[in-house]
Amino acid sequence: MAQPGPGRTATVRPPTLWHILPLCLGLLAAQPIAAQNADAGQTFTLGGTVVNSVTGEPVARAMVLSNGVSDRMAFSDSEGHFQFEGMPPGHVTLMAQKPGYFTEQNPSNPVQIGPGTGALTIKLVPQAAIFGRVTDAAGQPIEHTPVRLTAQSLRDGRKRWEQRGMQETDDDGHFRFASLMPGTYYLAAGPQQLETQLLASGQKPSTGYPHLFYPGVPDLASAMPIQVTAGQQAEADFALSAAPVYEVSGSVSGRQPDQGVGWSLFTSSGDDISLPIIFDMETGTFRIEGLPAGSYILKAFSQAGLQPLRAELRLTVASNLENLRLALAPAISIPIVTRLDSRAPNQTSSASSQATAPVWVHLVAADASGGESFSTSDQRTPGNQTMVLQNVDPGTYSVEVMPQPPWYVQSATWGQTNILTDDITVAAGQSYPLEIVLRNDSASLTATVRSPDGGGAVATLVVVPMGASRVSARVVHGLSNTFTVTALAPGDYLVFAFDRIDGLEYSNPEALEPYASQAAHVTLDANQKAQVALDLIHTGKEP
Amino acid sequence: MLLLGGLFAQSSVPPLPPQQQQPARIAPPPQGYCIAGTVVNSLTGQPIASASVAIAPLARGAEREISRSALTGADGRFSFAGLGRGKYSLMATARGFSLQYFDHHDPYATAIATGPESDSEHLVFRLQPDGAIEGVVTDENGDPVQYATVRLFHMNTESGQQKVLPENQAQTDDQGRYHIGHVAAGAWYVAVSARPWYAQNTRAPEIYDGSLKVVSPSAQVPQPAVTLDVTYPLTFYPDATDSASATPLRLALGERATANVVLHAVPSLHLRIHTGGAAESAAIGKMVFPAVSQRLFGGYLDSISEATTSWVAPGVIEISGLAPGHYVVEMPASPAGSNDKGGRAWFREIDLAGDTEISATEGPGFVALDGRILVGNAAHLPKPAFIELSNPDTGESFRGDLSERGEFDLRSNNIRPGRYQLLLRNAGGFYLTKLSADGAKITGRTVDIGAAASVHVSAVAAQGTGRVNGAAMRDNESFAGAMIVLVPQDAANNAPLFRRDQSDSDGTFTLSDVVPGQYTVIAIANGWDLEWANPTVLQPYLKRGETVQVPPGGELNVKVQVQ
Repeated sequence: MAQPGPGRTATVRPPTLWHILPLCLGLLAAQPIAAQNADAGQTFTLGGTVVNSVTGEPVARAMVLSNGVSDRMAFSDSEGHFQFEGMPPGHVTLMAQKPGYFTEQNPSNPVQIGPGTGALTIKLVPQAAIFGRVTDAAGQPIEHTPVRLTAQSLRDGRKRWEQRGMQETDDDGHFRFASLMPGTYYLAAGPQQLETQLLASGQKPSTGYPHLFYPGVPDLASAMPIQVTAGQQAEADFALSAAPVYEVSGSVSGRQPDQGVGWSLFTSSGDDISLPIIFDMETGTFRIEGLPAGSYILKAFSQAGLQPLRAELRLTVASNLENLRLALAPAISIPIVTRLDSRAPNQTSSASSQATAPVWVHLVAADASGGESFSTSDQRTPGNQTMVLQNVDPGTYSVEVMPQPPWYVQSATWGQTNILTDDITVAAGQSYPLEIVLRNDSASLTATVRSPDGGGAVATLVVVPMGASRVSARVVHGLSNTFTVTALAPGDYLVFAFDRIDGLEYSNPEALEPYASQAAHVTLDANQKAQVALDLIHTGKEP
Repeated sequence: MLLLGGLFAQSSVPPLPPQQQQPARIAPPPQGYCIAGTVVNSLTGQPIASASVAIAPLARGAEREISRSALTGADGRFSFAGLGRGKYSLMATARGFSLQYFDHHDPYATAIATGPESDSEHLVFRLQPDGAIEGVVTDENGDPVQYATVRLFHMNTESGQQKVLPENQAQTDDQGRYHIGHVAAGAWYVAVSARPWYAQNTRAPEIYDGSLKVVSPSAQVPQPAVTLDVTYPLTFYPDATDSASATPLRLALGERATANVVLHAVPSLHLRIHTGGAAESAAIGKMVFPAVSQRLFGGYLDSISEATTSWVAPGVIEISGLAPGHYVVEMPASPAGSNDKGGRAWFREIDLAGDTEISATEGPGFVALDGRILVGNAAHLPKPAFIELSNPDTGESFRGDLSERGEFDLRSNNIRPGRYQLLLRNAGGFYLTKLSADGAKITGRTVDIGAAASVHVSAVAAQGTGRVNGAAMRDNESFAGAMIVLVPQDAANNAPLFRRDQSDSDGTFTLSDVVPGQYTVIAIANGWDLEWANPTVLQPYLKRGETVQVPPGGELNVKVQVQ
């Protein structure tokens, strides 16, 4: 281990000594470590190197924090070295941070300080960036073009589309999205007016730049994903050609007098278009100029008292459109009726005694085409068993039903739809409730994970009901060798113990198929407390 | 022609006012008049193809709207034919060239006159290419500094005195890079402010027993390491931490300049403010916090955004993250409670070189200024009229709305001693006269406020501002593009009485909303960089100017020799 250069290593003293310390770093470094071999007991030096997880190169001037038996801070030197002297024996958690890097959980945590503690390596994951330039057909930069970044990510083992930001190009046509995690991204640019065109009053723009996905295609389905790895600087340039633009106009009805109307215009793939929407309060008419050909969703928002009003219109623009009509209507509300079917031996049904049902319901936009991914949480009225999902926009959703243990979902339906297996499509005028039946004769499962060294391991237990087209997997993560999952519905399950699940779409049965042979099959009866032993599955992903 | 107000067009065009111009009296020839010419790059003289050119007719009292637009051909030529007699505002833009008015000297430009005596068909429209300033901000270890705010301060004479004021800003990206486009030629200062990413300046509130004594040292909350209690001073390109020793970057037309800045962390200074007895017993919800600013370039007050303010004990506020330097601390009044009468507002100018404690009782209070504007002849001021008290040195400006009785009240504003200008705004032809003050000295339109606790200003609003129309001449020919200045008597104390314009293509100009009185009208060629409100600078031009006496409501015509 290299000696720290003078002034390179900063030391934070234990808090109780703070008030007597001189405020000068040089003096601090020069002081002998008073605790060394003194009555306070033996102390040790803890040190190591901070490295870039991709290149393995040392990272200088990273802040290293120690938490545990001794709370310390040090900066790594130009060689990436850090050192804490006079550390008492015991456990600490080490963490490094620096702009431009993600802090990753140090696999050697917690660190045992003692005679055998060797030099440590702390990895920092470099952040990625996507940058580029937007130019016209002649190669000239186009300024103020909106550029949007969409990430494809996994949440709860499901694919999600997430907007990761919008930027406008600068006068050189440049844009840059930094601080990105490794992953799959999509870029879109435009629409944009011809910014160097002066128009006489009353004159409408006739051409503009369209909205395109990288590398220059009109929809997300044909867009090229941009895969970035840790630390990668990916370049993605756009060449936009001026194309005809159109004017879209019409009126909105159902508005309260004096109430304003808010407007949003989205592409069919869910990007919010920043074109101005001119609304005349007097006449209730609206107008959008400079719209390139394409498919859009126009939304209007207003309210009557506290009641939100919504209207939505899907447009396919290939010429000027006039006399479009939007009718504002109360936003859709979906009541939720929960029945508690208590099966527990020494317990009467608590349905009437509980103020609220022990369940949460979320709607998640299921449109994988990058449609807006908003989720609506329920609104509970105190003292009223009825829950309502309020102000739901029309669209297709997957319904997530999350009961509190020991309850599990026995059935959940919306009209004819079994929402445990199928998505629901919400449209104006539908008023039937979500009906949920909960039971409490649930089973629990304790899994023992066999790791090669016989000790505990960092593992993620995934418990998947069998025979479902879309599954709600139960996941437990931790450093242990036993994992317990409670409140499971009676039935057949596949149980997996993965070393890591990053990037694993575990709510998709097909994504789990390659690992099925390493899973345990268990059948759970009501109220059963089952045990299972498993081998750790290595997903082969880089830790 | 003055460029102000709103232009109705569908592009991001700088605004134009409703212009006040003589309506056309002579019918145009059947084929009309023509505005035509060539758009060229002012730097290279090369014609610019596909430039967008537009005209907006100027008519008195009418909204100014673009009436015609066209693209230049490959030879840079444009032409608008069939026009009536009158004046037109001419503008153009192209890739790499911001929208510009013909021969503009913001906020003025030369309007194009059409008519039998005017040649409006051989114009050379010189578009000035945009410049840019860009660079990298790094720390002393060579690491990029992200989220640094880079500001450009422009040295200019737009206000009539040479001033350095902030104009554009940008933030550095993850690589420490910034880029500011559309920068005009001229002298620019690049100022960078940032916080070290690892800085921890705020000290946790101390454990106290009601006084400011710490109960027991061991009960003290852990403090951040000394090495983390650092800050970056405001740093000017190339390497100065005070504005006086900063050197400007002289950007040529169309130039792209690089200005890299290295920030050096220095120990953060802590300024503790004991706000006084009343505030010490005040509830947290009633605590008020001070504003801290720094004086830049001898005047401009720049508020400090990087410092953190925290409440460390009852009635004690700590401002941390400050670099050594000269600061202005302004504390607003704290509201009165049931048991106290609230804290008074005060300010303090302080040089910080180390951790410092100050007490509210040491700082002078602000000046409580109010006043009344009397209106003669049973007239009424238009509703939007208001009083503006502005300090040209610091850039501060206070607005006092007028009550039915003409009263205005700036007592709750943080007014410090200084030289202020008093103006009546939005008053539609009314002007101030008979200015007087209790507690301050008034000379002309300037209010000299000393250490007085309160000042009461009185004035009379009279109706009937005048207008001076004129023509700039040289060798008996009309002269376009000259700077026209209407210079009041005792110019040093009457800055609000100045009026300016630029002569149009037929040499004519209009100075409107002129307060009645005696003036000298001067016309200067290539004088746009002059400190036109500086009496010493004006002196040599005055003797060849035209002296005019503007009566109330009067409209004069004058011919001025261009110097």
